[in-house]
Amino acid sequence: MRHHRWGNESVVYNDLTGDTHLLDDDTMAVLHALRGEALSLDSLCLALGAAGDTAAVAELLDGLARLALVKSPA
Amino acid sequence: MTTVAALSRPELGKRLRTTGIYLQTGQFITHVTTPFASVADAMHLLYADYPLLDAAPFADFHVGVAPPAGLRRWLRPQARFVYDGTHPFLPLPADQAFPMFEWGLNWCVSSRAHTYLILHAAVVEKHGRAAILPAPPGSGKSTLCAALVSRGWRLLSDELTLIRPADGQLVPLPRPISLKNGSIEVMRAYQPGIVMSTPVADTTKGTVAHVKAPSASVARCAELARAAWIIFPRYQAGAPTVLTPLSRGRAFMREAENGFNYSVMGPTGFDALGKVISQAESFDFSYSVLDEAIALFDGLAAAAP
Repeated sequence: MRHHRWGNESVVYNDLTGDTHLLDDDTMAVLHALRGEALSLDSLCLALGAAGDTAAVAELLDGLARLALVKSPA
Repeated sequence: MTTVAALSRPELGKRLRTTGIYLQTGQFITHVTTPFASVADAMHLLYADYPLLDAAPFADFHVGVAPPAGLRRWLRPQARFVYDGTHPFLPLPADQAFPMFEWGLNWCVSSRAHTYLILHAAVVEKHGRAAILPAPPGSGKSTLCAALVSRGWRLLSDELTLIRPADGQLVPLPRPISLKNGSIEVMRAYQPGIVMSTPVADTTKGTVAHVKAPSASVARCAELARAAWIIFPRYQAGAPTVLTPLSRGRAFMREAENGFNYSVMGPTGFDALGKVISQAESFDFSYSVLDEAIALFDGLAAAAP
């Protein structure tokens, strides 16, 4: 995944769409956690140390899915 | 090295009407033909310092400004831009022949020179450090660029920022600075004796005129520069001179929007822009008084390590 990080912001290049996105650190953490393997929402929250923030993580996931940076398993 | 200045105005006109000339601007060689005296006049005035090649084995662009065939030649005469034998644009009134040449040459570079990431931005340099000025039309970018150049900043480009992907270095393409409407009189007052083409009224951009690039900038066209500042200018009548820091992430996104070929370049463009953004500090800049703006830029250059 091509990206540059400056401060608490990153820009990410989406190889699939050719689009560039500006993401904050929380969103990037989700993206990094999903790089190696597909995770359930609960497992993702555990990996992020955000077990009590399922709704917030789900919202970040939805945003990333809309940008075609992640996808749900079929 | 022969320059356009070696040709008298009649000789230049004859060459342009017949064999054409091979003109070097920055890294590009352009073969130019035209029967229009107004184009020859403006080229004689504004391109005197540019290398003229007797015969080039290769030209990056073959362009012309020619009258359309038929009755249009005499009835409300028009001019059309010719690129490699094609006509990519609708014709314009004949008195707009020289602005059309300038716009056409910009189009050639921005739509063809994908060796570089090309941003819609001016670039000026002092003490080896460059300021990129990306901005939409009406922001005062060209006026600010012309003013900086009139006060000793080197012109790399008024319109096209060329970024070398390998290292993010900026490649000069000094050509005439395009001024519009009120900016023409502003610069005449700001720089007495400024060399400028005859203003052409009623273009799609209003009244336009082109300012000659400084000879020293043309002579240093092979000297690359490193970006030190990315400054998004905004002229606003009565506004104080204010420089506001901008995060690199937001600057990246705004620069990408200003890219002529950012999408075409794909990941190479992303990486190239990342190099420039990492090297430079980014700011929003509002101003209304040119002297204050120049003083601020000079202060940045003086404070640079």
